[in-house]
Amino acid sequence: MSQAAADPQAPQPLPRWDAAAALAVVGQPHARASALAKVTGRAAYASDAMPPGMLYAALVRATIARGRVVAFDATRACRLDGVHAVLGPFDLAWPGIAVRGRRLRPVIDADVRFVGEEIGVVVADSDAVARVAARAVDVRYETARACLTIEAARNADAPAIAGTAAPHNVVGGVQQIAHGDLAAAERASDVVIDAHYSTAAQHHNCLEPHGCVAQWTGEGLTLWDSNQGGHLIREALAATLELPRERVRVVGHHTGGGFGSKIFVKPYHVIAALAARQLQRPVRLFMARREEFVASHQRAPTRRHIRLGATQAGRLTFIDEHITGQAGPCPLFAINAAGAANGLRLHRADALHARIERVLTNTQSPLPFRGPMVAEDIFCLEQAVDELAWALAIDPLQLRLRNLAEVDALSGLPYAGKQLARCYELGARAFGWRASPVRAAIAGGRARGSGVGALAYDATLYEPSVATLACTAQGRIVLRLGVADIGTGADTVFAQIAAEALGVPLARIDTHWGDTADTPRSIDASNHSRTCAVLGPSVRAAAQALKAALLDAAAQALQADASQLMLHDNRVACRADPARAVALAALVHAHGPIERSAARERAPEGVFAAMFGAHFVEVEVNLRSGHVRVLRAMCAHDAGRILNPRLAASQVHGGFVQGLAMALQEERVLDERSGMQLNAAMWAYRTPSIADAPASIRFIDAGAPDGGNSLGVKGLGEPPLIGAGAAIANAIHHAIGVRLRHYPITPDKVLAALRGRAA
Amino acid sequence: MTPFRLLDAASTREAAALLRTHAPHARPIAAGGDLLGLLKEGVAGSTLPTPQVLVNLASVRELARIEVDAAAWRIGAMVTLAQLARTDGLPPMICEAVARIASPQLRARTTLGGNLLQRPRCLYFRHPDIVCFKKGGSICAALGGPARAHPGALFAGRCRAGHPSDLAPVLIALDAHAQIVSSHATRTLPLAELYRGAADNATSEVQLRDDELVAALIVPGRPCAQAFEKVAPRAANEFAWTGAAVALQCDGATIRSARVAASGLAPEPHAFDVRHLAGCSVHELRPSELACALVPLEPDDDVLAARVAAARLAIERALARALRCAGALHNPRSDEPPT
Repeated sequence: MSQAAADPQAPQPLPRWDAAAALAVVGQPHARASALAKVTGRAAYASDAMPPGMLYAALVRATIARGRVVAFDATRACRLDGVHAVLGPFDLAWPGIAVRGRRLRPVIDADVRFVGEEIGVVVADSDAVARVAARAVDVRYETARACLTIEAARNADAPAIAGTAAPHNVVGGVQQIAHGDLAAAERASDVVIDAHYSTAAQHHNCLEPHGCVAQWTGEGLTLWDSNQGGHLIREALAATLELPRERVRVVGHHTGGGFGSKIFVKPYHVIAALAARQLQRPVRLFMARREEFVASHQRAPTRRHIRLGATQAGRLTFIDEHITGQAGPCPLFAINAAGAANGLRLHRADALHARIERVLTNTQSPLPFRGPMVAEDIFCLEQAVDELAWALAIDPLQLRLRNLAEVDALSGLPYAGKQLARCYELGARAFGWRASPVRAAIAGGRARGSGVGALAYDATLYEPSVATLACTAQGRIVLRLGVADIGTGADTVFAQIAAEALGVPLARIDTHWGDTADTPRSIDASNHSRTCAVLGPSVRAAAQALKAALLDAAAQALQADASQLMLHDNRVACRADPARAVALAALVHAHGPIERSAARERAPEGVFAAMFGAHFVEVEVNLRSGHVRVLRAMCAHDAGRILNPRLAASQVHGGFVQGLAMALQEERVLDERSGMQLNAAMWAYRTPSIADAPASIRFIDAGAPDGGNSLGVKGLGEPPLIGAGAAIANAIHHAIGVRLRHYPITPDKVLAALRGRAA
Repeated sequence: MTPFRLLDAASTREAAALLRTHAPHARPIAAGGDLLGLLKEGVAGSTLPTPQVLVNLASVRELARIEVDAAAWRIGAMVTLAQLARTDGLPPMICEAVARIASPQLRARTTLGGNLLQRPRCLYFRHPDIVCFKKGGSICAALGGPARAHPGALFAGRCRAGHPSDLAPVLIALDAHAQIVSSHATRTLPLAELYRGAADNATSEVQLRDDELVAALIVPGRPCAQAFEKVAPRAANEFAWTGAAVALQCDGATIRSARVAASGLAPEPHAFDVRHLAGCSVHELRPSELACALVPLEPDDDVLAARVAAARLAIERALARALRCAGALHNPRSDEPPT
């Protein structure tokens, strides 16, 4: 994704909505605009698109971890009734996806880099026939030695996975993040924690699988697609197919989960488009559930060696992390394997250091996953901070309060807003936090414990982002946004902002999104917890501009000065005499369409914008079975101004449970002989059922309007996941007195730790 | 999914006849809770051929009946789990087990017969691109793989999968018999016998011929002290690490006969040898010691050690509840309501 350079054309911020602003619509718990459509099944998803004459495609996927396809025999597959085409690596000049002027592996290719990679496609009359035919293709391979783990890939005699010279398959060199004098800080330390942690692969496993329907009309391509932002998909697809972007239209009104996996163009987009062009019929290509696991990317497994130091008084002296991420076979995606910056900025310390290595492997490439690279980091680092507190015999909450950072150490900037202390205070009060020794609550074979974990997440991803508002001939206000609604409430909150700025009831506003043909180019994708913070000010600015235009138009009609007029529901009226009014519909009738657009406001300068939070969790550990149950969670967040508390709480519920899943359950099981994923199914890849979720997950709004933008909003999409893991793990330690450093914390690890074996 | 023909059977006998006519390419389908998953995923092999004909048992009304007389319940194989749960008077641990199976949605559709005859949940068996012993391979593919991949394995044979049915141990503990119908005959055998040799049987977990159907389960009506306990990785929608069923027949406080069986531990529903409990007093037995003795394993692998812990816990809890129940039956002052 692009991070735009400073844009001198960007408008100046509007007057800030500060804490004293009297807002009528923003901040209210309005119901999700699409709620009824979703629960009644009327909401249109990409998979509902069924253009006439549509054919069904299924991918042929490699069953080896590394090597080459030497024969792709479709004889048996072609013989099946209803098969229209079987295309392998040698049948078309498949292009690679265009990324920043480079090309990835062709979307179908003989070169195989992990089990499940795309080596062919079948197009047939039905999904069932396509899938049977895909299994009937006889493929012969020349296999090569694969490296399925970080350890295997780092071996001295390991093959070079990407074919480039990367010593020990460490791609892109070793990244260093450094601040302060580490050696001096180490010398000043009375206590040092030195521990090894790890996190596991986490699959996005969206309820709605990846997929699209592609249709050509003449030279134009329409793609109904499940994504996190259609404009970026459109641009990358146009670049890949070497088409002018005007000839590509991407439609995706609702998205059944993305979590970071549906930001980028993937091979299936390109394959569906090319197959549809080849066959001159619309083609539908959706992943089966198994494919969601084996070839739809994931959060990378990481290893972490963490050292922390402090003085006896509990002053944090240094944080030093050596991190290794499992990077998959593609150097361009390796950056997603591991990171550290947000963990380092969470607490004040004299010296900060991280050394990050990303190791190429013959497993899927990592892609962003809700709190990408940050959740892994903070799950582990916040446990290490807890270890430090226990080593110092200081209450874990106290230790954190003693090390609040006033400025962002890595950028040297003050924060645009930071309410972490308030998160600690309100969270602890709501939870009833009090210091107590470990193993203090054991009865009947069960141990209870409490834990705290904090989080920081940068809000730095800005880019041009246009919103358009228009008044229709029916007198309604139409808000057009070039975003997807990935379930976070984009269908609702921007209308709230527009209604607030215009001074009209929320019900007068219709939000259009999800179709590149009738929306402006807003942000790349809904990611990095930024959609509200980046696009929200544009919506407000467009609303201000539209309001001014409507008042100007009405001034003529009413023979009054615009400054004496006001918008009132579906008309413009004189302030002094509201009976003197003109209907919006009449204005449009007289003047033609009235429409205004606005780009995002300038990114904040001289401050560092970031989200913060603190989670307080109580768990119960069954000492006989090793099973951990989270009883309750108090999630205090500084997300700036909350636009809609109902949707905010919903984000916290979902995010916390997804973090609980990562902390306690989600685990990819690979057969290390073949590289095949063994649990590529919903029933076998465990995520929490409702019965596993805590009885109470409470969102506590500990924020205040932020200085990062004129609305004062930050984000809340990812922080609730990021804060969940360490709080749970720290509560487990408090309950049983043993530290579990390797996620997910499954019963076998708990029992082994209780037996005194390596934790 | 490979296309198949779906043939509605009008009677049990006709269903068996259709299976015979189309053998070996036919299989019966109840609700399809397991079978459709296997077909959709393409799980197949030389001992697990993809069927060309499915004989639909949903059209056989007589298979969905529950009957009772003085001696026994006769529960048709097509009775749904939800139907079991709302039938008054059934042995209580049947309902206890049903409440822990899958989800309300699946319980509304899936059947007793389907539950008893479901295939293993071993991740190697379920992988479409891996050959294993149960799909015609010469050895168990899970050997040498991670223990997480093969639920079971504590009491293994050539296959290392755990049996996934929670109702199987319950019905074995209750001394149920399976009524098996073929195109020309009917036979009845103890349910435990139906599963004999499952660990070394490459084609199935049960002793059924191609043209045979489980038509009903005969469950003795005599009351006994009983309990079912399940330990599983998740609270719902989950297969058991162990689902333990205990049934005790007592004279006063003395155990006349005991039956203990468990899912998840072996390729068949594992029936423990507890003959030594006959003659013991319900007050002198120690559930935790008994559970340890029944699962006398100390594996080095942490995952298997956790499976042992789960097995002992489930058995201990079920034993403890059944013993309390037996104690209450003969001692009316106890708080525990008799079952």
